[in-house]
Parts: sequence; structure tokens; C-alpha cells
Amino acid sequence: MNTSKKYLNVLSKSLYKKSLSRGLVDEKKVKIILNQLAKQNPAKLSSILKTYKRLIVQKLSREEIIIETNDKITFQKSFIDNLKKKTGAVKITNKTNPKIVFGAKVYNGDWIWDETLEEKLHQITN
Amino acid sequence: MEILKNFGIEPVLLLAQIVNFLVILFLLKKFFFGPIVKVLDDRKKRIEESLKNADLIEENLKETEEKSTKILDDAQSQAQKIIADAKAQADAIAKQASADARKTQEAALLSAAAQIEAQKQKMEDELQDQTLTLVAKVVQKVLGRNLKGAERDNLTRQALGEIGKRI
Repeated sequence: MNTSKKYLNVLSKSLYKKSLSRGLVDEKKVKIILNQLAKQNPAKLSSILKTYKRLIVQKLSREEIIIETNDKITFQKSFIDNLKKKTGAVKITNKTNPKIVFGAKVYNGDWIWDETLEEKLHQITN
Repeated sequence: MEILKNFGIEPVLLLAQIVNFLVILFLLKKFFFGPIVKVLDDRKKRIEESLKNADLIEENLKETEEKSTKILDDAQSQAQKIIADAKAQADAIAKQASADARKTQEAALLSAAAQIEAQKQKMEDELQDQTLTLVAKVVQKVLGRNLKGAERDNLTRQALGEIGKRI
């Protein structure tokens, strides 16, 4: 059986694509794929699982937008729709961070948009 | 003749004495006075030669003295010239050394001034950074304590609006 790194990456990506439904991660499909992998126990299973997990985590983080503010805030619907439309995210979570004086910090996958007072002052002082 | 007899002089004896005297004179001259005269002449010649040599030696000595005096004068003038040259060279070297030292000192002063200026600039920059950091902390603390809820909410919404535009 071919166990080269390139083959394992291709296999992991294939499994990842099979885990999606309408472009979103499907929890049921993920469970089925994991069960199948556990039963078949292919060579280099840990490497396949690591790459598969990384891809799923990346996709999940892209599907979710985390907005950090000083206190809980109610977002306007137009703002939420605009964010979902621009990023393709399906879930928006508001987290509180008491270290933020005012402003907001938005996370989406690898992207971070920081409009907090701390960041503005950091830009001035550096 | 009688007179001679009266005085007791015998002509024959006289003649014989004269002959004897002449013979003795001849012998003395031949064997005694000749060598003595020769010795005296030789001695006279040697003395004359010695006197001539003495004059010659005196002349030579005089010439030698003149030469030595001239040599000494020359040597003295040369020595004075050498001393004057050495003094001039020493003055030139001292002037050069002084000029070099002044240049080195000026270069060191310039370098030190540049270093001081750089250090001053660095300290000013550090002070500015520290001041900015301190001001930022003060601003954070003051705003964190004094900002009212509505103002904080309004500013946060403005920030979200900015993020919405940037995304």
C-alpha cells in the first residue's frame, strides 16, 4: 500500500471533502468517516487523522466568526448578514473580554480584524 | 855663530831638534790630528744636519699645528652645522607631532561628540517610546474607569462598523 506523504495528504483531503454537506462540515458524516477509519485501521492512521483533523478544524474556524467585545452586545441583523455574506461563515459567537476597554476584535479562520482601543494605542506606540 | 855658542846653542843639535820636531809634527799630523779633525768635522756635520732636521721638524710641526687647527675649526663648524640641522629637524618633528596630536585629538573629540549625539538620540527615542507606552496605559486605565456604558457601546458599534467595511 502506498504510504507516501503526498498520498496520505490526498487521502485526508478526500475524506475531508466527503465530510461536507452543502459546503459545511457535517457532523454525522464526520462520525461515519471516523468509524470507518477505526474499523479498517489503515497504515499511517495517525498521520491521516492528524491531517484530517487539521482540515476539519480549519474549515470549522472559517465557518464561525468570533467577535470579542468588552461586554455582551446585540448585533444588528444587517451587520450579521453582511458578515456572513462576506466571509461565508454560518455561526457568529460573541465573547466578552474584560481587557478590552472599547472596540471589537473579530476572528474568522486565520483572519483577525482588531478595532480595539488597545490595538489603536499599540499602533501609535510601535 | 859666536852668539849661538855664547847662548849654548849647538847648530847641529838645533838642526837635529828641528828635524825631530818636524818629524814629530808630521807624525802627529798624520796619525793624531787627522782623525781628531775628521771626528770633529763629522760631529760638526751631524750637528748641522741635526739643526737642519730640527728646523724641518719645527716647520713640519708648525704645518701640522696649522692643519690640526684648520681641522679642528672645520670640525667645530661642521659640528655646529650638524647641531643646527638636528635642532631644526627636532623642531620640525616636534611641530609635526604636535599637529598630529592635535588632529588625533580633534578626531577623537568629533567621534566622542558623534557618539554622545547618537546616545542622546537613542535615549530620546527610548524616552519617547516609554512616554508613549505610559500615556497609552494611562489612557486605557482612565477610559476603562470613566467610560460610561452607553459611550462604550457606541464606540464598540463604531468599531464593528469599521470592521464590516474592511472585511
